[in-house]
Amino acid sequence: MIIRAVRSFFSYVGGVIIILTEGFKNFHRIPKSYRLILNQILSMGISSLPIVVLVSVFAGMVTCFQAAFQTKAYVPELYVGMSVAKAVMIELGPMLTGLVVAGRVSSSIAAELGTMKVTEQIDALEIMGIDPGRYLVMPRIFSGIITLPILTILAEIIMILGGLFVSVYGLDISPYIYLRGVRTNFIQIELWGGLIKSVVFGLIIGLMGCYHGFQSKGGAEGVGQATTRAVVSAMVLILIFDYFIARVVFA
Amino acid sequence: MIRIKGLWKSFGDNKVLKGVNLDIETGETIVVIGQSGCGKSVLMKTIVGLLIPDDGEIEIENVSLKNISRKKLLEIRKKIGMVFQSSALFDSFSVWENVGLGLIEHSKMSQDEIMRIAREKLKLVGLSDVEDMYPAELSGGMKKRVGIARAIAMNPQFVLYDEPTTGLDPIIADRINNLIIELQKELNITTVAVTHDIISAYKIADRIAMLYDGEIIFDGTPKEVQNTDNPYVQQFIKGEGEGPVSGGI
Repeated sequence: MIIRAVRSFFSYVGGVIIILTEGFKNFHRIPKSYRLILNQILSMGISSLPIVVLVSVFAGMVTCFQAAFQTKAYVPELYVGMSVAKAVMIELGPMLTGLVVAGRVSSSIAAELGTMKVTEQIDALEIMGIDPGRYLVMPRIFSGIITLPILTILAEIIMILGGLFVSVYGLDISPYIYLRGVRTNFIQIELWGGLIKSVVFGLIIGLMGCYHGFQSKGGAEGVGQATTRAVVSAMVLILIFDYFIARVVFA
Repeated sequence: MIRIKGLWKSFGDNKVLKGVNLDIETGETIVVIGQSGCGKSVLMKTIVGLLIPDDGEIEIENVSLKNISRKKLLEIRKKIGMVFQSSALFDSFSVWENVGLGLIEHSKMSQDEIMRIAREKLKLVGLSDVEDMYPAELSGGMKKRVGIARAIAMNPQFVLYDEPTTGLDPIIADRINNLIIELQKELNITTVAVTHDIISAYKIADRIAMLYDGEIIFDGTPKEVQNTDNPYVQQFIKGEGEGPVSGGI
C-alpha cells in the first residue's frame, strides 16, 4: 500500500510538472496568442470580480472590528488602520483572493478542459496540428499569473475601505486617523511580498485547473471529480505555498 | 501511403493490438471492420500518434512516427484530417470557426477569406446557412457533416473516419457514405475508416480489413470478403450471435 501511495504521489508530481512545462515552454508564443490570453484574463477577472469584491468588503470590515476590539484601551486608535493595512497586504489580500478565485476559476478550467478531454475535443486539436499546450494550457496559466495580482490589489483596496467604513461608522475613529494609520509604519516589502504570493497563487490556480482537466477520464462523473480535485488541490497548495513564501520573503 | 508494421498496444494487462500489419496505399479507401471494443479506435488513434504504440512502427509518407519530434508530428498531422465518432466539435466555437480553426491557427489568411473557405467546405458536405450556429444547435447528422468539413478544411492527403455512421439513422448514414465516396473521388483523398457497420463498409471500401483479437485476420476487396470461407469474417458480416468469434458480452 505504501508503495502504491508513493508511486501515485510521484505520478501526480510528474503529471503536474509536465503540464507546467507545457505552459512555460510556450511562453515565447504569448505575443501570437494574445487573443486567447486576453479572453482568459477577461473571463477569469470578470467572473471572479463580484465574489472577490463581496468577500473583500466583509473581510476588511471584520479585520478592522477585531483589530479595534482586541486592542481596545491598550493601543492608540492610530494603530487600528495600521493593523488593517498590514494584515491585508501581508496575508488577507493575497490569501483570500487566492482561495476565492481558486474556487471560482480552477473549477471552471478543470470542467472546461475535462469536458474537452472526454469528448475528444483535445484529440481533435492535436489532429489539426494545434498544440494543446500552447492553445489551452499556456493561456490559462499565464492569465492566472496576470489576473490574480490585479484582483489582489483591488481586493486590498476594498478591504482597507471596508475597514474605513467600520472605523468611521462603528468605532467612531475619524477617517483621518484611520487613513494615517494605514500609512503608518508602511514597509514596501510587505506589499511586494503579498503580490509575489498572488503571482504564485495565480500560477497554482491555472496549473491545477489544467492538470486535473487533462486528467479527466470517463464521462460526466470523471469531469465532476476533476473539478472537485482541482479546487481542493489549488486551495491546499495555496495554503502551503503561503507559508513558504512568507518564510522566504519576510526572513 | 501509410504503413503499419507489427503494432502492439496494451492498456494495463489488456492487450488490445497484438502485432497489426497493414499497408494503406495512396488514393484508396480502406475500411477496418471489427466488433465494438476490438481496438479499431485504438488503431486509428495510434496511426495519427495520439496513442504511442508499445511496439511496432507507423510510417506516413515514408516518415516514421517512432521517436519523431513533437513539432514534426504536428506538422505531419496537418496532412491528416480526422472525423471523430462523437464529432468532437469545439462547443465554444461557431460552426465556421470549427471548420476554419486550422486555417486560423496555421495560415495568415484574413477572417473573410477563412470564412469563405469554411462556407465552401460546408457546402461540399451539403450544409448551408449553418456557419453562425453553435454545435449544440445541430442534429447528429449535421454535426457529423461539420466534422467532415473540418477534417477536409486544410486539404489533407488522408482522412480518417472513426465510426462515421454510428448513431445515425439508415438514411442519413447512407448519405454520409455517399459523401465519403464523393469526397474521396473529388479530392483524391486516401481514406481510412473504422466501423462495425458492414453495410457502410461494403459501400465505401476499396479494401476491407477485419481486426479480430488484436490482429488483422483478413484483408481483401468487398467481394472477397463476401466470398471468403474464413468463419470469423463470415460470422461478422452475417451478424450471427453464435460462431467462432468470442468476446463482446
